[in-house]
Amino acid sequence: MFNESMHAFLQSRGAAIRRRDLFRNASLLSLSGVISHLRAEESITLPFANGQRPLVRYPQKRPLIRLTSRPPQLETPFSVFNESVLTPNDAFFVRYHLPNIPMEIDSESFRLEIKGSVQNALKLSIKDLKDNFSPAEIVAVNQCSGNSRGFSNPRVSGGQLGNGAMGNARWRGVRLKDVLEKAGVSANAKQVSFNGMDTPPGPQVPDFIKALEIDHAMSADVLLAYSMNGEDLPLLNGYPLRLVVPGYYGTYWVKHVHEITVLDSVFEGFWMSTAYRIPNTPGACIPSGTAAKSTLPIGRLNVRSFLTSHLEGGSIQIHRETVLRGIAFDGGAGINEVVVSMDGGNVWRKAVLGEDLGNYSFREWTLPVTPQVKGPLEIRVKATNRLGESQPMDALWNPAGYMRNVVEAVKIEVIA
Amino acid sequence: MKTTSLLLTALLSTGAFSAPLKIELPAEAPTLKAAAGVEIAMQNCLTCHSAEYMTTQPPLSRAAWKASVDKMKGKFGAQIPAEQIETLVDYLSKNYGQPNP
Repeated sequence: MFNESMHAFLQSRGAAIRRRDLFRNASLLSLSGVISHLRAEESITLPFANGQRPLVRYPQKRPLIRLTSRPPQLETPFSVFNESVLTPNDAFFVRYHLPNIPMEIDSESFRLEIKGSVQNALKLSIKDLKDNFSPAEIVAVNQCSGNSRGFSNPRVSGGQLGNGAMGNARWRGVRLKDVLEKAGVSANAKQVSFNGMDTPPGPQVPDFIKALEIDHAMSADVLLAYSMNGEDLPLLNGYPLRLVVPGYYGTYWVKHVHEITVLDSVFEGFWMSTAYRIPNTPGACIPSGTAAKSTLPIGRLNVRSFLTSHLEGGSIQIHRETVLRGIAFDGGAGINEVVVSMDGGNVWRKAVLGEDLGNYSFREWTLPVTPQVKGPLEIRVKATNRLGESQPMDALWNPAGYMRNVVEAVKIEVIA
Repeated sequence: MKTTSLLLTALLSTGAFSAPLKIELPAEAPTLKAAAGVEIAMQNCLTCHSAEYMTTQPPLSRAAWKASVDKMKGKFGAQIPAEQIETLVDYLSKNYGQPNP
């Protein structure tokens, strides 16, 4: 009965093309031998109710945790964060908002348009950007506003993510500021808006457009990136060009950015004025289950830290030195200190910080430990940035499940 | 011959012959539970997004599902006929909601 009604639905809604495409894709993939995702899928269970997810291989990606298929939302398996401080491109998370994503992009015919309140509107190719502007590079964390939303208590609706909607990459491109200066920003400019090539399913759905304050857009750190970890961006991460807004949540990092508009007023679009807003309170938190009295657009990342070398339920050996390792990051002040507790938060020891790749990067930390007592162990990690900002011992709550940054606790077992 | 292949290599490495990047996405699995109201859910919700937008939610209260449906209609322009809203909210909260809302 379900199948019949599904078929009827697909045909009645004119979606038969989509179904035909699926079948065609399946046969193409079978011919080329790339059929892994058509077999029984591997799955992973995130540690909250209804957390079972398939691991699915997408183009240019290794198998990732699939949250949704249309539009694609893919989460990085947490074990990846222990592989390297830079997140590999093929493991980097994917988050789209609109179902019509570009599936074929010609980087030669691609043009970036700069318009609005400027002296000279511009249309630039990727070659123009590479040949006529100074290259700029920055290592920066891109973290989804709703990373870790699945851990909200009480639970909230929205994308039910574990901790894998974040990644750290070396972004290379040109400074947004240099491009805006070439266009000549008017003296009255207030904001700059950014639109990518993904489009809504109909005129009634708001296009995904984000905006930055003009001073922020003109700061040296904001890039138009054509490269990620030394390679072209994967298509699903914004090929051929994406906005990189170091220290700010991923919602601003517009993918496939092709339209930049300088505005003399505050941008009023849905994705700024209604969505991605946080309570206007310290820590962006309000009492659980309540509504915010006033809100503002989400902004900088708060301080977070994770243990990556040992996952929940893992084990370490008694009387033997084990090096604990993890990552810490913040919204751009830089990490000053990471402390680790092996007893649930009573005694804290200072970890050793790894190579400094810049204030916007993951900062590796390590701590050698030699456990003396057998049995369960709760490891907690807490970072503090150079402004003295740290992490709460108890999770803060807001209605959209944004900005989770509680001190993480990982339970492992000391074994003989 | 050697010159030609060197030239080709040079052109390729400068991206002069770069082909458009084209991808195909893995199949979408429609997995809404077959139950009263599923046709309404398919017709209205699956137009814009896949089933996981509902199936991966935590067990939400009926009020939370009602709020989601209202948001889809009010903010995202879902063309849900007014007379179908209660059936849709019933379907979502019975199949993807709290056991005793």
